[in-house]
Amino acid sequence: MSSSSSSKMIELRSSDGETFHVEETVVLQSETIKQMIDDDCANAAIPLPNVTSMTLAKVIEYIKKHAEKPKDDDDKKVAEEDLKKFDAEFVKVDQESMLFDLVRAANYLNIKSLLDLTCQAVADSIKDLSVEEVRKKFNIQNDFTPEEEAKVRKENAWAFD
Amino acid sequence: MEPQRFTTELIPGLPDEIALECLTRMHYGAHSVAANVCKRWQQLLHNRQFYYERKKYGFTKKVACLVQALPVFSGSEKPAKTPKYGLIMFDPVLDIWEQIDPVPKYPDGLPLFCQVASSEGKLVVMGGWDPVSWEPLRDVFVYEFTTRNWSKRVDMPSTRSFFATGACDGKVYVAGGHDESKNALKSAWVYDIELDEWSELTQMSEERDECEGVVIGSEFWVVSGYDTG
Repeated sequence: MSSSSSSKMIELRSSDGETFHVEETVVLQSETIKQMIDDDCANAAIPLPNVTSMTLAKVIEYIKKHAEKPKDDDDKKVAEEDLKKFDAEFVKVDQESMLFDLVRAANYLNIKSLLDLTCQAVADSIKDLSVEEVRKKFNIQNDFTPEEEAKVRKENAWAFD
Repeated sequence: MEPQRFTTELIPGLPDEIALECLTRMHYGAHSVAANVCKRWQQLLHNRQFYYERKKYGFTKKVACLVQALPVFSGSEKPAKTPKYGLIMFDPVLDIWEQIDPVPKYPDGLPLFCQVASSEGKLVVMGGWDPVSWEPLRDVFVYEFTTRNWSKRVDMPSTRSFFATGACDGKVYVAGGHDESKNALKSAWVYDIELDEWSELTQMSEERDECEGVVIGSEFWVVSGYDTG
């Protein structure tokens, strides 16, 4: 994807020291970074101590895609469909930890649409799971006493299948 | 009631407010499973505030429910003369009709002329006549859409047939109708779904049988009907 040469580039530095160069217009989707730029704190590389290079690369892929501007109305419809597909693919990550990293990064960088997308993906991943599978997936301890558990099982036998 | 304090995270690895963002987005079909994951999730999902949290962000949905006569077939091609009554739900988003599980106490059909109200994602079925004996009933049942469970609640304080009903903010109002001797009633009661409690309201100025109830904003209106005459 080519970018206009006149656009100002912003340098971002991940927690593990890798630097990324992103156009200012793209990076403004992050309210956190926008604030830093507004406050004139973006003359040097912006340190992002909470975001690893792997996560940051994904986030940049996302905001770049979302910064693409459709040329006309016809293109707009196609672009919307395309963006939907991109979003659906984007949250199909191999590991649960990557999804959580993206949720945390979206929260820290304050990118509303990415936070919505990733939180929805976490929510959707619960669907069609059994109680045990949910516990395992999120590493949640079962803190019900055996008696409470038995009672729940009796009431909702189907949910434990 | 002071909520219990927890030392564990709602979802390990996520700040609580973000975990809450995730859980409010959960499809309601997953609620019954989620409520049994751990005590914290159970408390969250059973808290009526959670419903308002979901509603605020547009994650609740509206469905239409109605009591419908279901034809009863017993071997022959023609349905039996007396149908049974069941609850039907229409989901306008998914464009589907679905039958709601019968009330456990009345597996063969709802009480005739029972009244139905809904608030905070719950459906409340009250009164009506026994489908077999036609005796007026005071039964109250609540259906929780998220867990798809019925629970039997405290009976209505008095027998009341063909009364007006309406619901708002977790409370169900009933007024008028007639008693066992067909006397039109002035009395009105309110039922708190969460507390499972009935309290009497100021009586209406006139008795009203077969009246209709409607909630407008936060007001419960009782209209039409007639006196014992």
